[in-house]
Amino acid sequence: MNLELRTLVLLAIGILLQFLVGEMNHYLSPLHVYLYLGGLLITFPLLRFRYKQGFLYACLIALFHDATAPIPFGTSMILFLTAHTIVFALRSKFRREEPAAAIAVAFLLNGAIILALSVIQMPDHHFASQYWQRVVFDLFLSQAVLLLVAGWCFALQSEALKFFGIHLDHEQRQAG
Amino acid sequence: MQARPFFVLAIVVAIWLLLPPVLKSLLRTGFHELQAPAVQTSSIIRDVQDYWTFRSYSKDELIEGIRDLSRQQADYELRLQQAEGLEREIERLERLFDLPGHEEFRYEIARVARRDMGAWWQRMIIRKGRNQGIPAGAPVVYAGGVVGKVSEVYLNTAVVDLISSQSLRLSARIEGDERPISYQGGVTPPFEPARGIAEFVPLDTRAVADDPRRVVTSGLGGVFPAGLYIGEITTLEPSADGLFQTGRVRLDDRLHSLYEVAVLVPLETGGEDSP
Repeated sequence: MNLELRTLVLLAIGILLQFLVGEMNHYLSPLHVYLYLGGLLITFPLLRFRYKQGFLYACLIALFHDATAPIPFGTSMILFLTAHTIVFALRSKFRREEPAAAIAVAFLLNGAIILALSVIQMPDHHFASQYWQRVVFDLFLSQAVLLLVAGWCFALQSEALKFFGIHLDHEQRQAG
Repeated sequence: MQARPFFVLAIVVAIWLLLPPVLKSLLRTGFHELQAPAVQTSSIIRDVQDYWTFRSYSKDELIEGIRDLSRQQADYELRLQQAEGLEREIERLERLFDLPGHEEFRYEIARVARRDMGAWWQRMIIRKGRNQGIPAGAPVVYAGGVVGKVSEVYLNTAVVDLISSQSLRLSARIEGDERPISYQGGVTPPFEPARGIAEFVPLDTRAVADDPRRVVTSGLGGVFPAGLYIGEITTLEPSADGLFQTGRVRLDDRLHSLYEVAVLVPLETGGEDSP
């Protein structure tokens, strides 16, 4: 039961965060700046869930994102799942339950996903230099915002799971 | 490093790539429709916030506002009479010279629910869709000219690709010159006005920042009616082949802060789609 519930709880929070980022972008649009925090959304389940649970979560949250973006449907899903698989294979090499490690992973993942999406969406030669200037600006802004909100976001996800009786720290200690 | 997760990833990606496009399209629509109520609700909440802001205005401010609106209304009524006279004249001339009539549209006013302006795409979600007879591909305008084109239509929402988006290209002309040119959206740098690019501009055309040239739709291509304002060419330079010029088009500052737009629904299509 808990296996499904934890994915649903984090999915609800992920959709809420995605909605808030969308609202922020709505208000930022007259300034021509844009925030992207896709990497932040998948980090917590990626570091704390089992492979299948995190995989399912990354798949669903990416499809929610793709449905509102003018990119081939499933692009973010493939990016998120690739990132999920690579980091999952490496997560035993660092202390994944430490907040600093989680923030570092979110930072690296978000940057990598922004760059990958930027390559996929690259326009023709007319705008190449202006395009990359804009991408670099949005990247810096997104990464700065991510550093500001990542701790709060992970705490929210962890507390929401506790609210539903899912204590990841206890489970991890018991497994250890 | 375990190989199994990579194997699972490869299988899932292969299955996804082989999935029929119809199924992907259905999934996309489903996931979009799931989120649509939240986007609409946040837009409605903004409207309520605006309403309560207006409620806080004093009576003097409201009286002043009504007086200004009355003046504007009188001015528009006069212009409307002139426009009606000109329309009758155009119809008379069309009959006289046996010319094909202009395509007619009805204006469907829609609130902007969400603006999404990144380097990757520039689009907005409006609060009207298939249920209100909005067709895909319909031109979208506002008081300052062209906004863009409807790219996706859902039940009660539609997505509009803006003219500042690189994916949007349309046939245009410089005001006062009948020769067609090509317009394409560009990349808007942070904190600067939105911009696009004009191509195939004739060599004898001049435009500088102090004396820009207005760019309007040409009416060719069958989507946008002729004469709608797009922006101003502020710089021109010879294109790579030397046969034409390429220029930067400065778009209206209001384009990225719109809260209401009008969708031009072709009357025939609108009639068929209307509930």
